Amino acid sequence: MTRKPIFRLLALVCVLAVFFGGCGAAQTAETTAAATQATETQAAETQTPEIDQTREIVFAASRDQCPGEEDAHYASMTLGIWEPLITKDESGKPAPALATDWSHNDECTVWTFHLRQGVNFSNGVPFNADAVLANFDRMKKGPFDSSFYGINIDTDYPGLVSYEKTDDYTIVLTFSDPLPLQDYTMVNYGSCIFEPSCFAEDGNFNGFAIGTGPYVVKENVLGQYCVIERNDNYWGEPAIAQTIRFKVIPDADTRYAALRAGEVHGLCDLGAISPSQAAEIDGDPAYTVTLGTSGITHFLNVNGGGFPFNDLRMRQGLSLLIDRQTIIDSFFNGYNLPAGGFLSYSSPFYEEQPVQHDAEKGAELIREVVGDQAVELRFLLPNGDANRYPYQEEAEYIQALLENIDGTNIKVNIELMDWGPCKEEMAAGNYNMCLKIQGLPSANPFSLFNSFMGSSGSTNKNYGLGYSNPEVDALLAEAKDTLDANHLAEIYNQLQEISAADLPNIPVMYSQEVAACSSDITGYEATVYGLTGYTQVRWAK
Amino acid sequence: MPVVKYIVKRLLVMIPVLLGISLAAFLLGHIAPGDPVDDALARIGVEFPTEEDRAEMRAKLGLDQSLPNQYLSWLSRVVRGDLGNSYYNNKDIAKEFRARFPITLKLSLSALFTAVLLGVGGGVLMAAFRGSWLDKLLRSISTLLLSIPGFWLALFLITVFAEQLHWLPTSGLDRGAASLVLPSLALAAANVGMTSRLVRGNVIAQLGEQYILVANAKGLPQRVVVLGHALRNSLVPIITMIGNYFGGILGGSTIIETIFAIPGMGSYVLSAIQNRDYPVIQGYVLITGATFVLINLAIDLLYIAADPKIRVGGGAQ
Repeated sequence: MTRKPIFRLLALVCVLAVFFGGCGAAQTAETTAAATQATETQAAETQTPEIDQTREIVFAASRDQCPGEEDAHYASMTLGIWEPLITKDESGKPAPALATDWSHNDECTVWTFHLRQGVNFSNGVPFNADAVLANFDRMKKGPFDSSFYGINIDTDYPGLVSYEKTDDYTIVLTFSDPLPLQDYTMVNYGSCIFEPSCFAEDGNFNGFAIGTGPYVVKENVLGQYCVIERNDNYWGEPAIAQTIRFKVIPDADTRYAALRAGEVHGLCDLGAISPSQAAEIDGDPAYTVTLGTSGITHFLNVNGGGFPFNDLRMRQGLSLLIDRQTIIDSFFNGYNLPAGGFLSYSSPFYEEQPVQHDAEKGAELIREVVGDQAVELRFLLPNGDANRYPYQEEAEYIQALLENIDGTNIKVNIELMDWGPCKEEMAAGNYNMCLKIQGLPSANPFSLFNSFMGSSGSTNKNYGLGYSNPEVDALLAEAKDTLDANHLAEIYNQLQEISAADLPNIPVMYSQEVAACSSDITGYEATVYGLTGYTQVRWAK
Repeated sequence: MPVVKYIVKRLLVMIPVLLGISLAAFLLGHIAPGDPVDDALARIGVEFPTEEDRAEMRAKLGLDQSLPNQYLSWLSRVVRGDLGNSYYNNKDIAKEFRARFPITLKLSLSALFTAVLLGVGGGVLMAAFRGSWLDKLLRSISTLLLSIPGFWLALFLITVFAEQLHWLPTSGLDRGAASLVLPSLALAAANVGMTSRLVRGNVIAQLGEQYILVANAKGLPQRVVVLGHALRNSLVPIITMIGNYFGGILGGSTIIETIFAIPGMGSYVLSAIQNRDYPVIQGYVLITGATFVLINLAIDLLYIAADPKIRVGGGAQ
């Protein structure tokens, strides 16, 4: 057989391969040429030719940063497209944003907000009381879904009787019941403001969202990327970078590879980079790893409705047995903080609780409870959390601790399952331990305390925690009727102390947000939801 | 005309098949443990729902009705082209599939092209050089491709061609055809291995037939003998395999789409499965089921073109 035809076939394969690759190369070349031309034009315009800030910066996140017209907020708050009436300060307390100050009557039923003057939306329309009232009109058409925080007027503004303006820059909200911490509930996503013309009839958006923020949406391809551009008419200090692109890369390994390949300059949003990946590039001058506060707490939930965790000594024993710092160092590459209390350290009502580790005492308490009888413990790991965090390793560590207590006969069975069935097993009391994260849905922690610690709290029941303490129920009832914010803070302190002693569930770690960026850019900090967002991000060279 | 009758008959048979598929998808979704209600409530700002909140949302989603009622209600809407709204984000499912289908189709065609080009090409080369070092090398490569898990190969390709060599993008679709090279290779790899081995075996079998001897005796060029006769007569099983493979990837390759950040149907349904988003899963199963049935029909019609001995309505003529 002659080899000529075979060589022809091979040649065809090669030609097609070159063509196939060439398509991309050609397009890249065109894109690069166009980008270069645009950059040159823009560079001529910029006043700081040393570092050209008109070049596009690219970030990658696991989800859409602009989920679009059918999302309650259209875009993540960090993008700076829109701003809220109230934001939070470094301690997590309410701070002025589009509202400069606010007050309430003695009964906490009437709240008056004074609005910032001289602010325009990015399309030039003035921001005033009418715009705010139109946003309340829109809210009434909800609730609206969001991949960040949904808008629900019944939970954000419970018992809202009326909203009206007293002048162009003052609005008054009247509630049926006292709400002493309403300003906490309104922080950030709870009081977002948009230019009313961007609302569709049904309350969704009819195009790009228009806000008062330092950036505007320039392009949005759902599921792929969005591009934001600096709002040069911003009322505050303008942003530095002119254009930022946010790509959607759901897979953590691909996201990391994109950073290493130089395709993206930073990784952002929840779970931006895994602890092991961050540890790999931490110290490499080509990258910057930053840590930020997070509202997430890692809990070891226990079935307090059945033996052995219905015995307080068992819960205390296990809490003492666990060396939280070892878990953090061994499995989380040193990221995260040991947790002693129920409430996240990022809450404005956080009161530090001691983190105790005494393996000997812990083992003794557990021995007192289980003796030498054979005890089988079912340890559930929800798949979603186990994929995001090294929960398997953490669970095996806890398994080893429990199974090696002298004089006991404990066996721990670890089971991975989807969160749906896992929750059903927990609610039915068919488990003993389960690792799960809990976020901080509002700056006002009442619902969190009530849900986990109240005798009839929904999470208490759904997680089968079986926790009941009349003192806690009384404090929760008192909190509900208290009009004095300081007194509420005292109640929340008491609840934190009780939770640290009673351990309805066992706090293990306070999460830290880990983010990474290339050293080509600077000014990027790991803040998940904050008002500064990307305004300080810029090219470093 | 027999062909038209045959097509109509096959399309009519599709109806009970699709009904069966839709019923199975519906029951599987609802029998599986888990409840979408809490997620739906969390999306509208109710983080710690009470039983009343849950009951209200359950009623809103229609989950308080009996299973037969839920199924019939869903089916009546599907017939009108309405796949309903997602439990998770309330978006129109049909609209979402319409937006994602072209993306998955593009990826599938690209993977199919890669699989056919490398699989058939490699198989013919192996057959033509049977027993040579080239045959041994290609057979080893095909075994390797068959053995490597797709997700691992995907990450390997990203590391080598994007992270290290910077030749191709890691993910996304914003670099045109270049964006499709790595996902297509990862998606096609196992099929390349399988197709090349199948083609090799079939072509070698055909090369031993008497008509090949006659063709050689007539002095036909080797190219014509191998490609025009041996390969053509090997096509029927190859078409079947490639057709089934195409149906599979057209349904969306969940893992590959997720790894390469391709917003196709696969990544959509993966997220729906995680969120117990029954209507999306049902819609997906229905679409992929219909796709498989249609592709099988296309394969049967291709048989007729590929092998003149096959005729509609009976045996060889």
